Amino acid sequence: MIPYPSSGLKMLADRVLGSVVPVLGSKFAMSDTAMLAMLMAALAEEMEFGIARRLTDIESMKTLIALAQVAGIDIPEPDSMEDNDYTLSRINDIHDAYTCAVISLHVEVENSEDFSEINRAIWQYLAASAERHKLPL
Amino acid sequence: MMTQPTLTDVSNVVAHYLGEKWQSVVEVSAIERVFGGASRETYLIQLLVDGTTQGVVLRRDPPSSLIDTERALEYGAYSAIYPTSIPVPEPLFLENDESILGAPFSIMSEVVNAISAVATLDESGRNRIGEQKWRLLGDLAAMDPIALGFEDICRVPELDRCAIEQLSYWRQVIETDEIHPQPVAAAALRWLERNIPGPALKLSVVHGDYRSGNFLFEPEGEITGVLDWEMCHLGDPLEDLAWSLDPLWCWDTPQLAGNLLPHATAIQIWERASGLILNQKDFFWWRVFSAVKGLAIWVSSSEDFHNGAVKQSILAYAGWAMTDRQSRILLDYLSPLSQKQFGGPR
Repeated sequence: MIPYPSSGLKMLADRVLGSVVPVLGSKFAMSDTAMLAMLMAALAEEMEFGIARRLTDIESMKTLIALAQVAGIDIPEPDSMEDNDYTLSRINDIHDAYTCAVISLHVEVENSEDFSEINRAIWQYLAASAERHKLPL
Repeated sequence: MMTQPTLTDVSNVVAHYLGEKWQSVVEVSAIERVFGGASRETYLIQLLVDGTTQGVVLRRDPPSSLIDTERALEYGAYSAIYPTSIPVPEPLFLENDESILGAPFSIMSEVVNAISAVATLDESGRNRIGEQKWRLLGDLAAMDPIALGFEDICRVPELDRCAIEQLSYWRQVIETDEIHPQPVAAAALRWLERNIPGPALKLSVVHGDYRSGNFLFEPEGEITGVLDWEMCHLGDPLEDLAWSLDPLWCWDTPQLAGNLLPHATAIQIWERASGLILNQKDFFWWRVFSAVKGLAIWVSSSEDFHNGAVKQSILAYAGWAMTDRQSRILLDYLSPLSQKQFGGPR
């Protein structure tokens, strides 16, 4: 069976930290290798949850754009995921396109009393997204 | 072409190079590469010069770095500051000939018996080093950069252009290097443009990366070396103060600026030493700017990892972790929904 990639990567990170780092000969090699292990552990987490987090972001950004359209703000909706390509690279591209749309929307609403609710919704989304993607340190 | 020299390569080159420069017999007795987020490869080297022990630090340009900087500016800053009351390592040689070590390099004297980790200090040590840290920064702010010769190595901005020029520079870094759009940074950049502060109180030497970790101190004594001048420039002294107080440098102990002193105490020490009184509104602008500048540096390091020829772990990890933290700092500063954990006007 194929091992779960995130579990495999996390095991590699733990093994590097526990078994390889202590026997290295120089402080530089120890620090550099420890950081590699930390990067591996973070990537293991990202491998498991990265796509789900981006999809949650995309759904939230769709809601923001829908709110804007109801309010009469012309923000074109980016291409969505009709090709059913769920690779991280493809999801990243879609996430980037929606993020650009939200940045444009933010510019439109941030200085207008009429759109203060949308402005607050954008800040709320940005905070929620940052919390979702924060690196577990 | 020497792409990545081994420790033996560096030892051989340094012994020969310094032997010629000093017209002495130079041997390398020990060498180690220093790990960190520095913008150059750094080597700590112990020498025997005509039988006498001497330590030097060699900084070599890497293929990729956290900060794209000019080595001549950094070396020039060390040379200009060295004769002042701000302690820095003695600059010895700047070598631009890439054929010698595969890339330009500089050599400085070692600061002996010194450490950089403030986490090792107890409360009394934190108070002592913290007091020195912000007093030295105030002293630097009070100095006349023209009298120190900085006009020969840095652009001299008008007082009312200091903020605009820095903002423009770091905006460009973000826009050029971002691999993914950065909505928090974009919002912060727009806020900074809408709220440009008044003219600088005076023109000062701005260290550019004045924080815990970038100075050396004797464990029971004083600060003996302020390091990492590669982002040095002339500008508003509030820039350095704001950077030194960025929450990024005290993430686990946010009540202690730079993990040393309460923020208000640090500011009081700086004001006393510099003779300047900070304007809270302008200072908040510089605090937001500091978080944006930090974010730009980490975005740039991520880009270096993504597109650069050499994949360094620190570029990837720092680029990821610190962009994340700086974004959360900016959300705290600017979001109307913020709980203002890090301060700033409501």
